[in-house]
Amino acid sequence: MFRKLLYSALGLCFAFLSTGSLLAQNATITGKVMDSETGETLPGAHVFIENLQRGASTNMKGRFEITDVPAGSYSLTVSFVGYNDFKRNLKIESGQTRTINIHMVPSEVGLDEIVVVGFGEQSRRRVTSSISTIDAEDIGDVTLDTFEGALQGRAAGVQVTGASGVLGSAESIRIRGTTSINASSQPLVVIDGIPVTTNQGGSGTIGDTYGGWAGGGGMNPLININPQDIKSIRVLKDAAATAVYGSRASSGVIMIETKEGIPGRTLVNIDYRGGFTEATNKYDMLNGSQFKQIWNDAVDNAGYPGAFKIQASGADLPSTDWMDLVTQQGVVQQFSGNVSGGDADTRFYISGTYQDQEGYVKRNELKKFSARANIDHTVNEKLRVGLTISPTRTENFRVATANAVAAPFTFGALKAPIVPAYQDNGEPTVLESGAIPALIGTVFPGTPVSNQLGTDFTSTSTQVITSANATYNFTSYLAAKASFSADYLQLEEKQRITSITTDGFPNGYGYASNEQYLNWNLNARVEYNTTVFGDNEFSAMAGMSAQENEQSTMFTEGNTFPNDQLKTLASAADIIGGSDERTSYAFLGYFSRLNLSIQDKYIFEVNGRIEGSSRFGKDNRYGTFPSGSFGWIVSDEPFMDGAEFLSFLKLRASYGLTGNAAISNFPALALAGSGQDYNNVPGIAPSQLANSDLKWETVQQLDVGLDFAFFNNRVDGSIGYYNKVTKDLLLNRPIPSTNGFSTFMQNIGEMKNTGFEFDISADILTGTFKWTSNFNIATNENEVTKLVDSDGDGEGDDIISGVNLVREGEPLGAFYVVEYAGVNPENGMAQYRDADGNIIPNSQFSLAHRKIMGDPHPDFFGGFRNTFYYKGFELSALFQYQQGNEIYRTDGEFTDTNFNSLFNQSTRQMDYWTPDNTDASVPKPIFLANNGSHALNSRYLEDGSYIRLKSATFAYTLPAGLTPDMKIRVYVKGQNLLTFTDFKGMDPEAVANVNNNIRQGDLFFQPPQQRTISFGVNMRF
Amino acid sequence: MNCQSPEEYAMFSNKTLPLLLTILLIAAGSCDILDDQAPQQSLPLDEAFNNKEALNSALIGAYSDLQDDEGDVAGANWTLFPSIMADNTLWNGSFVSYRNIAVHEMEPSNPAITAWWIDSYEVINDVNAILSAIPNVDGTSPSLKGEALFIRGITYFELVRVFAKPWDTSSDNSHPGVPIVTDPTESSDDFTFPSRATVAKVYGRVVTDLSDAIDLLPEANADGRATKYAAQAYLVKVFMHQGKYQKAAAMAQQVINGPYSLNEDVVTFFRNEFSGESIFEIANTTQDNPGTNDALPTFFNLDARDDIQISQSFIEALDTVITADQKQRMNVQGYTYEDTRNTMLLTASQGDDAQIPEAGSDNTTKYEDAVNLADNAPLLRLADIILLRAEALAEANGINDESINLLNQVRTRAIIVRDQNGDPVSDEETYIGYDQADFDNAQELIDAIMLERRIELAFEGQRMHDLVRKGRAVRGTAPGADNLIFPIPQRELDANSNLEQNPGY
Repeated sequence: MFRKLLYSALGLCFAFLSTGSLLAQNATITGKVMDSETGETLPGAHVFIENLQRGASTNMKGRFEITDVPAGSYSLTVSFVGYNDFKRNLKIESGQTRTINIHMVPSEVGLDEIVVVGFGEQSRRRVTSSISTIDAEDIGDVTLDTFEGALQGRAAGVQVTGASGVLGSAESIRIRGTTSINASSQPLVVIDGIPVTTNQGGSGTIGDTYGGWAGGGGMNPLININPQDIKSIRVLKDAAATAVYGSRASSGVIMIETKEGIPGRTLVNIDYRGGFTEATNKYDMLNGSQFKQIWNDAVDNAGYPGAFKIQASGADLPSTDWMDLVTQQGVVQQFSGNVSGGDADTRFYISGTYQDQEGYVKRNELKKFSARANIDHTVNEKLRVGLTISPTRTENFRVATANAVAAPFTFGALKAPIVPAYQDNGEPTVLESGAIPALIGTVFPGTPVSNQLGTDFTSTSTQVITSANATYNFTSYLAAKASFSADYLQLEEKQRITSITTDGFPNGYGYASNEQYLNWNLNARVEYNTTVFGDNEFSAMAGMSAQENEQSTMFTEGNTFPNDQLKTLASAADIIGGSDERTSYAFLGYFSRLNLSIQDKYIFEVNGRIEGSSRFGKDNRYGTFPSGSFGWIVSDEPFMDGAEFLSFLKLRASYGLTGNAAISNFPALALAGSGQDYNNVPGIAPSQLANSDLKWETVQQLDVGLDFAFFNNRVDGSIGYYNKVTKDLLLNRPIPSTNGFSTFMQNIGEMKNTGFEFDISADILTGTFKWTSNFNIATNENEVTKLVDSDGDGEGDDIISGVNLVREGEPLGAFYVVEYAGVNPENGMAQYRDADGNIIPNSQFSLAHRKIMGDPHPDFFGGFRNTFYYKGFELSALFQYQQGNEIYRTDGEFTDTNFNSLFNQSTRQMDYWTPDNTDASVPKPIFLANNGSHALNSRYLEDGSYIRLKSATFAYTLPAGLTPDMKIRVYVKGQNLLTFTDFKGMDPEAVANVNNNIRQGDLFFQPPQQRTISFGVNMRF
Repeated sequence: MNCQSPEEYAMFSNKTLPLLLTILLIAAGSCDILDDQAPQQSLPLDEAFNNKEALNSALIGAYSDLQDDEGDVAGANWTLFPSIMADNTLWNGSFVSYRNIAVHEMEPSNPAITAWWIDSYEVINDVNAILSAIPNVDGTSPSLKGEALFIRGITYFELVRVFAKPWDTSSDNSHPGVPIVTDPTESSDDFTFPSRATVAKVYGRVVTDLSDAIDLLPEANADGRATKYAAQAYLVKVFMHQGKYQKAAAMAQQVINGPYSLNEDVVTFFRNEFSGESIFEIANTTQDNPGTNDALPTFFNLDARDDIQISQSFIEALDTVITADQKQRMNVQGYTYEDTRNTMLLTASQGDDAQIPEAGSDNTTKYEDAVNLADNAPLLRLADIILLRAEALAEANGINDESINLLNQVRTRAIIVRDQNGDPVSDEETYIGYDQADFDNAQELIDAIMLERRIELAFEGQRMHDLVRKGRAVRGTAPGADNLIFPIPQRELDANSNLEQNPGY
């Protein structure tokens, strides 16, 4: 199919050939570009002669010069970010030096701004789909460590949640809700047209096959994207925008465009920032004497003999604040610089960044070196070629999180305070039990401090993304573009835990792994633009895309080291495991788009992609993903002429299909797995049944919206509604495991996400004191509409995963728990409710029935940003909020159990029932007995709504007179400064389970987000 | 439109055409990229069962699933769960699913119980696939079929022992057992939704599979794999559960006649894998268990999770191992005794009565590998079969010399009597052995055998089944009580409406 396209493109080329131009005597055009309101000169504006395809940029004084201009009539275009394009026709005579001064009008809305869409560009005015844009200026305002940070709170319907505040951890991005159950709901990320690797890597990755003790999630694959290099981020939300990405677009697409050089004077930008980071929250746990008090009361209440009591007191009773010992104030700093520029033929952008961050958890550090070179060259009037290369090396000193004793934040909360951190000889405590009664002894070896000291855990990633591209303009209306790119990522991970750690006791443990991903991608397309019947424009684009991804993983683990100083596996006496695995996938797609604009008022667009994936059965490899959209610029209609206040109004609607293939690589095949060794003899066993019918999960999305601008574009925004129905949900359907398999991957089930999105920006005050404000809000309602009915009762079968339930008619992952009914003031015993709502005592917990008591998805969420400018001062603040979701504190089953276990308890437990405190919030502690601390219990279910001051910046730009050749800006920035919430857990934001769509809102010792305060200076010249 | 000038045409062909051609070639080549991808760690299923070598590998795969798949059935949990349910242990750990099993408060959603069920049927499917392939493959050894049948037999036996009410000698055992599946699932067309077969049928399947296996299995096999004697020994257990004491005694004698002998001392079995006393162990290697939570030492070992400690009831039982008469006999001589089995109890304090540890703080050291968690699972050893024959004979014949002799064999190996100089006394049996005079009736002999089994086989997963088949309460829970039987996993009920839940859930 593609060949046919190219042949026809070649044919077209010969059929419609354009005129060349003849060189004549030279003329020169020179002049100055300035702001029409203030008269300030504008350095870096782009002056371009369309007919010649030549141009220049203004220097620091706003001057430009174009020489060697042949005589003739030209159309001169001047463009500058934030200003309307200036256009003027010029008649140049031979040998003339023509001086023109250009006054640029600031554009409030930037409607004619070119928006990069999937495989192409469009003016914002004519975009008929739902796209949120975040520009470099917006990004520049915050201290960003990851590109995900640029999305937070800034785009309606885009929800970004960090898995934890530990450096390098993966973040969850949801665009318009969760669209899948078993397949991934992370959006496709495309950098300069290259879909990048989004697999999480390293130890802790769900489904990983190798060793190590990492607890929480794996490494964020997107960490190597340098926010400083980003020119803009587009979030493609509806089917019309995403359909050209077809089979992988059902969770939305994030397109990142990196910076490029502007012809003219070379611009240099240098930035330094440094600051401090700390935890936004820490577990507030019992101190030694509080611990002793509850423990001893619990022993009495349990009727245990006195020998179980803690006897030590006063100075003999240790009171270790483990939480404090494992955390710190971290230091962060970053140097970055870029140089950009070029001439009419060649443009370049080169940059380099060094980043060194210390986390608030001790020994958590991230060092990143990155560079980028974007170069493009105009070979001749027709051919333009470009190359981008961006190498990155990230060294991450990891710490374990969540469900691991090795995790400092987990164990730091749970370790009894009555054990000293260090022995008298200064060595860290390992087996000593402190003031814990001898009858109990140690629970297991190691303390948070010894685990931290005894762990070396590094993860080093090297990634190079390279892309070569070429554009050939056959004529002004027909062009061919092609790009070839390779994304190579290598992740090497080493963990060594010594004899003083819980998992390394008594002789140490180590592992080493190496993962490699090679992802190559080829895109080619032809574009055709024409004007038909007067002012109606027609454009067409068709192309193909091929991608192959190879992944290889190796690891080795060993134990029994001669001493703790030896760090590599060469010293391990026992090599206890190892593996070498390889896997791959490929996509092959053909896509096309047709646009018709009638009178620049009625815009029609049709998109489509046909795509094949190696992941599906041979008969179902290819899927078709069409979409159609319509835009009507109502404000240009004659009947709107009277509405002076209305600057712009566009009605848009779209409908289309997109797919999801984010599943394992070979789910359609019948397989027998190897690695089934028994007593060191290799074996194989059936591992998977064939499903040749397996095909894409498909999302049908309807989107309607209004884009508007009022009062001469001072206020602009959009409002929209969407309805996304996921069909053929890829579901690991439960089957009776008497078949030898317990699940079978099938396309069964349906889910719906509907919501409204609204965003508005306003220049509330203009002039010397400027105030701009942006506000966005989105609702999303998720409902599972159809599930498999295996048992034949006419209803889809529930899927239960921990506290989360998947049930027809309910939101995905609804909280399914037993209702806790507080403390019986009579006897201090916990109470629950049975199926009928009657109160039943703790002892009859088994009669209590689980019911749906919450929803992990917020009713609405969004952001609110205000920026004030006065002279050179700038103050901005971004708030992020969400409302109406619940969070289940699974860690409460450990920290709030009134001494059902030997773990330390939260200080909230001090309000426990005694005969003198019958109005208590906490049941009577009974030593090692379960009084109200059953799992799956609404006692631990809480409202997760919050408002957070996500970032605030105060900046000052030195007056131009002071530093004439240089623009210097100094700033102080803060991140996660304030949080308003009723949530009792660590952080309502750090609860994301990136890997699992069902187990959402489940908090299990995820370290909270970090609070960072940094100072910086930025120089441009 | 004009024609392109020759100059420009040249430019086009020189620079652009090769580029476009390159793209074309790559585009044409791309069409194969979807077919190029293939799994590299797996074989197509139909190639795994079509020749002799593949079937032998598939048998190893079945052992592997038996040993360390997610539920770690034979590798750990067949031993672990009955241990924590019975009265020798005190569960002190934080895992909710295990704790609920330990305190007999199980829920149908219990993930550990669910894993037991799922893995058992995975193993059964593994061997069903082998058994169904054997007739179509030339040159397979009798042992292949025998081992497959053995694995299926013991897996059904361990399923029916925990998921169904016990065998009732006074009924036709038509109460629900577990579903019986004997055909492999090769494609989604083969999915079945079986209901539970009766306990009688399941026991029938077990006896058939094991009896057939006896005829096919070799007398000796590679470490950790089934032999004729392993199948016979398992049949002894089956017959004991069914109260078929004559058959059990006869089968036990065949095992005793086999190539096994009691080790010199009781500790050796737990320190040296596949020792002379071992009839069937599941091999756990350093490769299998590191980092998993489902190994025996994970829970039993003080240096690992330290979740299972010794119960008060067990400690009291230790005090009754030597009867008053026996103590008196030794006192007269000024002799002392040491029960070497107690050296495998880790005592926190070695006080006056060092042999008796303290409840709640001490652990067994039978599973010693806290580092690699690679202790084998001790499914069958000779001492167990000797005591079962003793018990079967006592049940069948009342007080008899052979039962007492068999019992004394186990006792005198474990308990060392020393004279005033600390030297071992050569005829321990005189002092700590039983004789007919010690028992007023058969029940007292049976009780003594039961006590010996409790001490000798402590923490080896035998105690709960012994109590249940004897109709005795397990830590206060009646043997046939609802809450002593695992619930059928909720996910199974959800996926198969033909399944019936156990009463009480």
